[in-house]
Amino acid sequence: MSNTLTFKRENQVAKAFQKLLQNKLATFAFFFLIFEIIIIIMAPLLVPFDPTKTDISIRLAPGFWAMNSPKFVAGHFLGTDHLGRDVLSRLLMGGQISLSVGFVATSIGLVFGVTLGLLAGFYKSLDNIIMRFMDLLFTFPGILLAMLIVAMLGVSTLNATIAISIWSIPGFARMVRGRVLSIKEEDYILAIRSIGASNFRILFHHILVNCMPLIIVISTMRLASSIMSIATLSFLGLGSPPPNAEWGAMIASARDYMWQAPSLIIIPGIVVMITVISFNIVGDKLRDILDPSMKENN
Amino acid sequence: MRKYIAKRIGLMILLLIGVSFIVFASLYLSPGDPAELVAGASATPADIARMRIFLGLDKPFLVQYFIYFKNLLVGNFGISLVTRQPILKELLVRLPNTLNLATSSMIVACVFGIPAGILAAIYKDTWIDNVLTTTSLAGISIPNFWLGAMLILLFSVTLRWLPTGGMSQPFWTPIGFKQAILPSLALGFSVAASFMRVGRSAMLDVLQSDYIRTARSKGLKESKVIIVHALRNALIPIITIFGTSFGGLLGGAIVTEQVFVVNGIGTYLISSISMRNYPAVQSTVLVIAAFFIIVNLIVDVIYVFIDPRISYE
Repeated sequence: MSNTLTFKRENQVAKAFQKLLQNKLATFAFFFLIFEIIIIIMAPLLVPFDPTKTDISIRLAPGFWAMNSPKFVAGHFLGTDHLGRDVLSRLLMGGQISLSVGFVATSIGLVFGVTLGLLAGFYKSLDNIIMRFMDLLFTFPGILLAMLIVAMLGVSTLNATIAISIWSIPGFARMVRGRVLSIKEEDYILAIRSIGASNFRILFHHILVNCMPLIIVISTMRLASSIMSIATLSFLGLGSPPPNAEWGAMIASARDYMWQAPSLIIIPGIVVMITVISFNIVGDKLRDILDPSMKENN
Repeated sequence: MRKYIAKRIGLMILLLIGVSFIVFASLYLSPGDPAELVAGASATPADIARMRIFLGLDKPFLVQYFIYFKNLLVGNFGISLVTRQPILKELLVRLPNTLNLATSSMIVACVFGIPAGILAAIYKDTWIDNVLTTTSLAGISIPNFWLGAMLILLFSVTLRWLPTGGMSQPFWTPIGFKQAILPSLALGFSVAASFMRVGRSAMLDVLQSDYIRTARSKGLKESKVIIVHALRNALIPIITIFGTSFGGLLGGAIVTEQVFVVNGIGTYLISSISMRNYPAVQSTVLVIAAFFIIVNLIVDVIYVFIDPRISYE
């Protein structure tokens, strides 16, 4: 029984990816993300300079677009920032912070959110307590909840990750609960129950498997918004503290040099945007393929 | 009907109490002793102990919360640890700026987002649809603080058409209008994008429905079919996300205010966090959440009037 089900699931996800690759834009976004993730994982081996090493003598050097300028310093392909730090190195190492916060926060949000959603959907007695608490978390608009948590715990990359994780929980819980409510009325659940499967097995094996497409779609979307959130928190000075290279923090510190070196603010923003847009494109397409019933609600 | 509204108001009050409890508890649990902060750096341990009793910090948690809540009800939000002014007063000075920004951004979102969604649905799968859909995808993926900085770079620093920041007058006055253009574009773009996406899928749903086929088959002009019959029903889903979007705008305003140097409650919140001005953080978060809850209540009530299909039992 479990073998056939596992097999079916793999098949479904594999099929989804085949369909995904039929769409040009989604294929491009997907492979771009794979490429970006590999580069960023390997960043410590690739970066030409120490991303936190300052050298005032070469501050605000332009990048490859002004190679003939006397201020251009060979080797600093994307130029240097106001403290003479290499922009390319900071971008790559900053990606490690942005992506790892994104993945870790989404995973934590997924584990707690999906568990709470499964329990709330399955056990009527828990439904009210769990969902009212989720409603309560939803009443903090946008990034406010994450900010409150950072205010409470103090500014650090870890605390920002915790904050974004907690903020991700209600989204997962709400969607999964809704799906569980409809799945648990299906005939096959009754059939599994009649052959003596325990509640635990039904819930964490059979229902969870059928929530998988939905969970994959929400995770992709949450990844996009988690990466955006850590950039936003860092921009506000509530995320990754200096001298860490983080994309949002790079944008924040470049604001004072917008007139002299606009590239300092343009480049990290483009990187955040392309990363987030790629996750959103892949998420959008996966939703169309895996879960056409999911309504546009954001 | 009246029962539904009463029930919603009851729920709203419960949510507000819940929010005040979370906000109070989260800062109660945070490290650092408020008594030490208030007493100042030169205070002796005895001073701090006296301050703790004076602030009521020696009382049990629930008693402290109860006192806090009682004070909230009479409009006493506490005293700012930085300026020693009543927090409510400081918030009321800044709130108009934030609401000004949120409202003008909402106007931007409606003016651009809704027509874009409807156009995209009417011209589905043409280049118009592709351009609009791609733009909306960009809209939800661009960090609003970066978009704001880019707008400043282009329109204020390079072209020198608009001010780089500040917000001193409401957006309907000539000066206020010029000040509001860039921040509302930066903040409203992502909401416009989500209005466009929702509007497009709602319009597509409506255009496939039976009554539109009937309207067409009786020979109505296409423009009349869309404007008279389709549009009204396509707007309903947008109204449902209006409440959440307004919340998103309030949350986003915290960030946009930083970019455009607007003296609003977002700026107040950020500076309070960095100065560990806990009572001010508590009150600001509470005020933003309360606004969000109240706007959602209003939207829900309006919704019942607009869409007679939904039951309010």
